[in-house]
Amino acid sequence: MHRVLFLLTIFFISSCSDDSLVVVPVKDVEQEKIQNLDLNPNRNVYFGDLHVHTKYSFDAYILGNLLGPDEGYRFAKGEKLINGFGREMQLKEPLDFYAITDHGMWLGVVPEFADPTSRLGKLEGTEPFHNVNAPENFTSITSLNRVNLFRGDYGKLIRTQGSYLNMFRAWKENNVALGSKYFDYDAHLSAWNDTIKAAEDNYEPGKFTTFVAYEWTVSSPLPESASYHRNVIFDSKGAPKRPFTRVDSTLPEDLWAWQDNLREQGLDSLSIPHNSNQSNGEVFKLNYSNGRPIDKAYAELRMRNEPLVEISQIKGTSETHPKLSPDDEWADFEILNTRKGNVSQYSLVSGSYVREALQNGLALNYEKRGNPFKIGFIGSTDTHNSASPVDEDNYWGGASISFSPDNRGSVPYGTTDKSLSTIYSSGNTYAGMRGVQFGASGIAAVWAEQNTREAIFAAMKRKETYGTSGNRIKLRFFAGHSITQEDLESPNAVSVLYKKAVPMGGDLLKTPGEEPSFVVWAQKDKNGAPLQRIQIVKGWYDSGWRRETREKIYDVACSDNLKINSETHRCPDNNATVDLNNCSISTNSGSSELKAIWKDPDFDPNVEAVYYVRVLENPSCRWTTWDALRAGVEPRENVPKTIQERAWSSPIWYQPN
Amino acid sequence: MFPRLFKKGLGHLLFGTNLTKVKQKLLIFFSIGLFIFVIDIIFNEDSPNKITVYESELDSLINTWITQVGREPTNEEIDGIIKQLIDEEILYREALKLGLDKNDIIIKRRLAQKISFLKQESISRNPSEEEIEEYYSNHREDYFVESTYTFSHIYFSKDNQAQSRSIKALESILQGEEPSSFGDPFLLGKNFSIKTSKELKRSFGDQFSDSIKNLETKKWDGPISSEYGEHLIFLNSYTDSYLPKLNKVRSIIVSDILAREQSQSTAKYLEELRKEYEIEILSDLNVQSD
Repeated sequence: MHRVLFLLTIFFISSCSDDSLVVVPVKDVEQEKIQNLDLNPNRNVYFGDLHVHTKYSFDAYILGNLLGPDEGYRFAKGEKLINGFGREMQLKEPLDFYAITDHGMWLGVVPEFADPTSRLGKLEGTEPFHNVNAPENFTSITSLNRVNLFRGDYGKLIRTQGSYLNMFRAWKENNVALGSKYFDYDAHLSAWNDTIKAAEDNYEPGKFTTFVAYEWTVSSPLPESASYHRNVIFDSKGAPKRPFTRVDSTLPEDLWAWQDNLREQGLDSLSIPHNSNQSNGEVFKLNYSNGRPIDKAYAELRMRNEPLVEISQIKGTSETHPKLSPDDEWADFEILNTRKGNVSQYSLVSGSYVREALQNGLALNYEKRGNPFKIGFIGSTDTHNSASPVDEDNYWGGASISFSPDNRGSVPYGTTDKSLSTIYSSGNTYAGMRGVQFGASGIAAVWAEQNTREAIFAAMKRKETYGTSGNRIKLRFFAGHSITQEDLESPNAVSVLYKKAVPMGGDLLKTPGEEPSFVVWAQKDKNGAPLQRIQIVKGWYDSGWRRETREKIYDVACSDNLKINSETHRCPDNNATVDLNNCSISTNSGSSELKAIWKDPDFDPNVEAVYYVRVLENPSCRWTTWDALRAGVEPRENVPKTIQERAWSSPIWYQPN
Repeated sequence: MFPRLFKKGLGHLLFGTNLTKVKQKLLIFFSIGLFIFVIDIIFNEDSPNKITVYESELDSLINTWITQVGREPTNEEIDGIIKQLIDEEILYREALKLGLDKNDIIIKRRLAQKISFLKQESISRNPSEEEIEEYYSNHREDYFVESTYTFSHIYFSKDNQAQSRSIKALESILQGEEPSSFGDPFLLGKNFSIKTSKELKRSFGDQFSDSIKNLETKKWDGPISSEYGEHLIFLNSYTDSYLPKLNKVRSIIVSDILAREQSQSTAKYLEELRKEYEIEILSDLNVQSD
C-alpha cells in the first residue's frame, strides 16, 4: 500500500510529460563537409520518393514485408533488394533523396503480435498474427489470407483497453496508445529509433539525402472510411521522441498545432497529404473539422505546416477528375476513386482533387478568408515494399503480396504462378479490379542548390518542386514581367530567368501596365518516351454574375515543331503510336526537349489566378500491358493499355494586390 | 569400544580436531553472522524501495544532455533529469517485480545486442604493415575513386541543325570569337563541377558520358552528342578514376580491417558458445509422425 501511495506521489509531483513533444537532436553531420560542397545558384533537379513503408508499418508487415528502413535507403541508392516472396527489386537509376514514412500508429508493434514468445504475442487475440511471416507463409496460396488480418483483427485488437495501470500511464504521459492492452511502447520506440538511425546512417551530403519522417494515418470510422492521411517530414534539426499519431488525435488541426509546437522548439516539419482522391472530399473540404467554415486563421495554420500535396502515387492520381474537368481531354488519368478503407464505395469527387482545391483557394481568398490551398506538388509512391515501383516495365506492385502478375490482377490466376491453377482451373479468373487500378507512380522532383537536407527542405518549403507519374522529366517553370525571347535564347537563360522571374511555387506580383510572361521548359527522361506537349492549366475565381471557379487549359509547346491552333489552344496530333505486340514506341515523333514563352490570351490584371504546367509524354505501354505481354496473354479488358506519363509543376500565383 | 571410536575417531576423522572446540568456533561464527544480519535489518529497513542517485550517474546524464542540446541545463532542467531518472527506475523495478522481463523478446534482443557489443569493444589493436598491405591488395575495388569532370558547355538543340551549327561555332571560337555568343540555353545550365560519369549519364545520357572521356582539357572541343543535341565542351579539369595510394586510405583500411575482425570474432564467439549448448528443435511434424 505504501508503495502505491509513493508511486502516486511521484507521478503527481513530476509534471505531465509528453514524449511526442520532446525533441531529440539527431547526430550532427559535420557542417564543414556541407560547406565544402558545390552550391549551384541556378539549382539542380533532384528526384526522390517521400512516401515509403517498411516492415514497421502494420499493413506492410502483415502483407509480407520483412525489409526495414535501412534496406529501403540502400534500395534508393541503387542496391538490389529481394522481398519475402523472392521478387527482385532494383531501380534503373538511383534516386537522390528518400524518406521512410511508416504508419505512426502501432509503428513496429505488429511484429510483436506475430512472435508467439513476446509479451503481446502471448495475449489472447493475437493468435491470427502468429508467425504470419514464417517461411511457409510466403506462398501464393497462404498469402491470400493476409489481407483479412489487417482489415479485421488488427483494428479490433488496438482498440482493446488495457489495465487501470495502463490507463493511468496513458493519462499521465499524454500518450493514449499506452492505454491499450495490445501496445508495447518499448517495441514502438525501438522501431522509431531504428527509423531515425537508418536516416542518419544513410545520409551522404552532396550525394544522397534522407529525412526522418512518418505517416499520420487517419480515416474517419467505417462505414464512411474517408482517409485524410499525411506524411510528416522533419528538417535536419532532429526528431520527436515519438511520432504524433491518429491515436493521439484524428483532427488535422491538432497535427498542425503539434507541428507548430515543435517548430517553436526549433524543429521544423512539413505535413504532406496524399490520396486526396480517396478522401471522400475530406482533404480539401471548406470547413474546420468541427464543421465551422474555414477562415484566415485556418489558412495560416494550414499553410504554415502544409505547403505541398502528393499529386500522384500508386493508389491513383489526384490532379483532377473527368467530372470536375469535363473540358480536359487528359483528366481521365490513373483515376482510383473508391475509398481507402471501404473499396466498394466511391469517394466524393468534390473536395478530393488538387485542381479544384487551387481554385477554391482563390474563391476563399476573394471572400477575405485567406487561401488554405496555396499548395505545391510532389509525387511519391506509397510503396509498402520498402522499394519504389516507378517503372511501367519493371513493376512489382505496392505490397509484397503483389509479387506476381497473377496477384496484381494483370493476368488470370494461374498464368505465371502455376500453384494457383489448382484453385483457379478455368484460366480466366482475375484478381480484383483494384489491383490493376494501381499505377507505377510517382516521383518527387525538387530544384535545390545542392543535395543536402537543408537545401531540399528549403526548396520544399518554397514549393520549388514538381511531381511526375514515375518518370524523370526535367521541368522548369518561371513567370515574370519583362522576360524576352532573347532571354530565353541566351546561353545564360537559367541565371537570367532566376534574376528576372519567379520560379515554380512562387507569387508573381502585379506590375501596372505589364502583362506577365510564362516560361516553360522540359527535357525528356532519358529512359522514357519523347515529349508530346507542354500545357498550362489556369484557374481563377469569376466574381461576376457567375460567381464560380473556372479553369482553362492551354497547350503552350508542341512536339515536332507543330503549331498550336489559336482557336482551340491545342497542338495537332503528332501521330505517336505504341506497338502492342512488343510495346515499342514510334521513333519518328515527339521531342527530346520543349521550350516556350507564353502570354495568357485571357489575362485580366485585376483577377487573382493560378497557373501550373503539365507536360505530357508520347504514349507508352502501361505496366498491365507489359505483364500480359511477358506472360503471353492478352491484356486485361477494361484496363487502359497505354499511358501518357506526365509531370505537374507546382503553380505560380498571380497576385493583383 | 564402538562408542569410543565414534566419539574420538569419527570426530578426529571429520574435523581433525576435538569436536567441542569445533562447536565453540561454530557458535562464534554464527553469532557474528546473526549480529551483522540484525544490524543490516535495523539500518536498511526500507532497502527494497530505496533509490540512490549517484553523482557520477547524474553527471553522465547531464553531459549527454549538454552534448545533445548544446548548453548547460538550468536548475529546473536538472530537476527534470533527476525526476525522469527516478521515474524510470521506479517503473523498471516495478516491472521486474511483476516479472515483465521474463520472455520479453525486446529485452532478450537488447541483452543479446549488448553482449555482442561487449565482445566487439574488446578488439583494439594496430594491424601490422603487412596486414594492411595485404588487405588493400585484396580489396582494391572498395577504395576505387570515380573519375570526375568539371566543364562548361555550349549546347545546340537537336531541333535546330545541331550538328552543322556546332561545328561552325567551334571553328569560329577557335579563331578567337567570343564563345558566349553561340548556342542554345540548356535546362540544367552551363557549368558543371566535379561530376562523376554516373551523374553525367543521368543528366545527359550514356553517349555523352562515354564521349567526354576522349576530350582534351583547357580548350573548346567536340561536338559530342547527348539525348538533347550536340555540345561543345571546355573541359576545365578532369580527374581520372584511380586507386588511391595506400597512405591516403590507410586509416579507412585500418578501420575496415578491425570492423571485419570484430564481426568475425563475434561469429567465432557465438560458434564456441554454440558448442556448450544442446539444441533441440521441436517440430509439430515430428509429433504427428509418431
